[in-house]
Amino acid sequence: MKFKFRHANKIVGIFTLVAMLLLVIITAFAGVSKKWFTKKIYFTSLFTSAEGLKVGMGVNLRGFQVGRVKNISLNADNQVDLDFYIYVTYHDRILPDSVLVLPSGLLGAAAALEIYPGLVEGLPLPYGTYIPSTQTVEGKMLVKTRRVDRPTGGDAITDILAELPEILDNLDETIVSIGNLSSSLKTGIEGEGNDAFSSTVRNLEDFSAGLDLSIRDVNDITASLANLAVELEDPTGLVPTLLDPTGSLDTLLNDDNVLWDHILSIIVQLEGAAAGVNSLSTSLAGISPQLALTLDETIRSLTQAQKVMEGLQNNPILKRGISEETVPENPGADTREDEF
Amino acid sequence: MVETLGRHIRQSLGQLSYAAGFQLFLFKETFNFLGKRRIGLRVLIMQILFTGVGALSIISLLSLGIGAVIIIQGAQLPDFLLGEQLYRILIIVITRELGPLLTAFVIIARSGSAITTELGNMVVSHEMEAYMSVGIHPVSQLGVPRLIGVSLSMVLLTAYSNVFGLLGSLTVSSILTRVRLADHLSALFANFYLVDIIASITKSFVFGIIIAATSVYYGFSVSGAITEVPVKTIRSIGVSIVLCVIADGIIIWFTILVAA
Repeated sequence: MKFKFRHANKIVGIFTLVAMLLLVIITAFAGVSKKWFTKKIYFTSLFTSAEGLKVGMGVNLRGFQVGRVKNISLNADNQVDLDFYIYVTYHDRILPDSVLVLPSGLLGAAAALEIYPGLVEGLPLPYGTYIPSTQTVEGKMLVKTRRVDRPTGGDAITDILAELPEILDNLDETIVSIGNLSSSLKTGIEGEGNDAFSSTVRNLEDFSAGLDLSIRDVNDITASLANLAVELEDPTGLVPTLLDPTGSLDTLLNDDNVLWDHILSIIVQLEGAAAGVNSLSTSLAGISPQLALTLDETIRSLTQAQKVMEGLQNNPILKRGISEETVPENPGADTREDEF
Repeated sequence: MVETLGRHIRQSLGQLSYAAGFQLFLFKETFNFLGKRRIGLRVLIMQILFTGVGALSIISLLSLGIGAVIIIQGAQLPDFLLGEQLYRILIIVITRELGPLLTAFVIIARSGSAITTELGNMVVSHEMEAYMSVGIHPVSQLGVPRLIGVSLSMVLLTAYSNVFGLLGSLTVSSILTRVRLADHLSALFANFYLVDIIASITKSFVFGIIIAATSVYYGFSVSGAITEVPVKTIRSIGVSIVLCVIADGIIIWFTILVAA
């Protein structure tokens, strides 16, 4: 019997055992290498976007892989919840104020997250603690205030790449500010806003309207000044004549108070006349009752005379006794007034 | 023409129905076999010896050679040997794809064809009737140990194939890059994921079942003429290859879904 068939059971047993052993060895080595059997301390973090994040990506501390991303999910506030773990051997380095960073890869997404441990002395963060990312305000403040152990001193490109997220964040903020400013300016210019700028623009419009009127006035004044200048340039004009050293104005102003005295005398005479008028009015006031009686008598007399005249007119004996008065025609009347 | 088409469809449906019934019976008997291990155990041992141990040398040589060739060809590309991606490429190509598929093709060509021929010849020489005459169902006695033996051998041979393939690649890479083999192995293990190992084992097991079930079915489908045996063997090989490739595609799709 052939050796192979005689020892078939043993050969198959060895074949199977060796294969199983190889599988176990590969699995064990892979597990040890990937720290499948190492105890893990889980933490949570928050990102604004899942861009560049993926389940299974490493969490590095100064280039050493100290953990991995376990889960990524979109929460109810449209923020990205990230669950990750740190191997227990590195747990003592995860101190309070630690920050999680998504580095900017040179070509596309970064291969791993970075963790900057806090500089606070104390116990490591416990299981399940929230560690902010630099995509949150809290995380940015921790980095800005230099409360984290941030690696420096690398080559120029590494330093630039390390600074890049902060620069990009600042750029984002600037762009957002410019956007807000632009929209504020737009609404302000349209006069639709309720802020100080909009009211200023509205006031500016009123001011502009007032300024228009003022400019129109100034234009009028300028035109007058131009006319005056023209008048000044004309040697025969009114103003030069007035301002001429030998002109009327000079004569009037340099006449040894002759004109003034004359005006003063006129005023004195006017004052005297006024006094006369005043006394006349006083006299009139004194005789006014008598004058009233006289006028009443006159009216009565005239009434009697009217009645007498009416009687005379109605008397048939005296009819046509008084010749009618003839009115002389106007010799200089216009021919157009004639009746045709 | 209509009559021919109708007859062809009826025959196809009849064959399909017979094949489904045969496979159901084969799997039912397999479960029964696992409960009553003593029956057919010798056939199972011999099947593993023939399929697994017998193919080990050729599988090892092929895997070593292909692993080395991947590195030699890849070395033509810039930075192929220096990048971290090298290990992932090797793991995906050798462990997930080439290992199970290459092993399957060797098993189809070597053991699949042998099973169909052997069973076909036994049908022609009326050995099946002899088994039945003494109260032993030939499918239980001949088919089930072959199904289990080929499936187990596929899994074990794939493990060898992966190991030799990766060793061949890393050895050549170590020679070309002057990096120690231990460092290469360390980096390789760091890039291994559990899903790689599970995918490899699953594929090899599924391929083993497909090859064994197809070969056994075509062996038993010989109706009496000796000339049918090579025809059924060729058809068995063709169908096994097609089914393995389809199963490979389905498993890849499922693996990607799980990974996502």
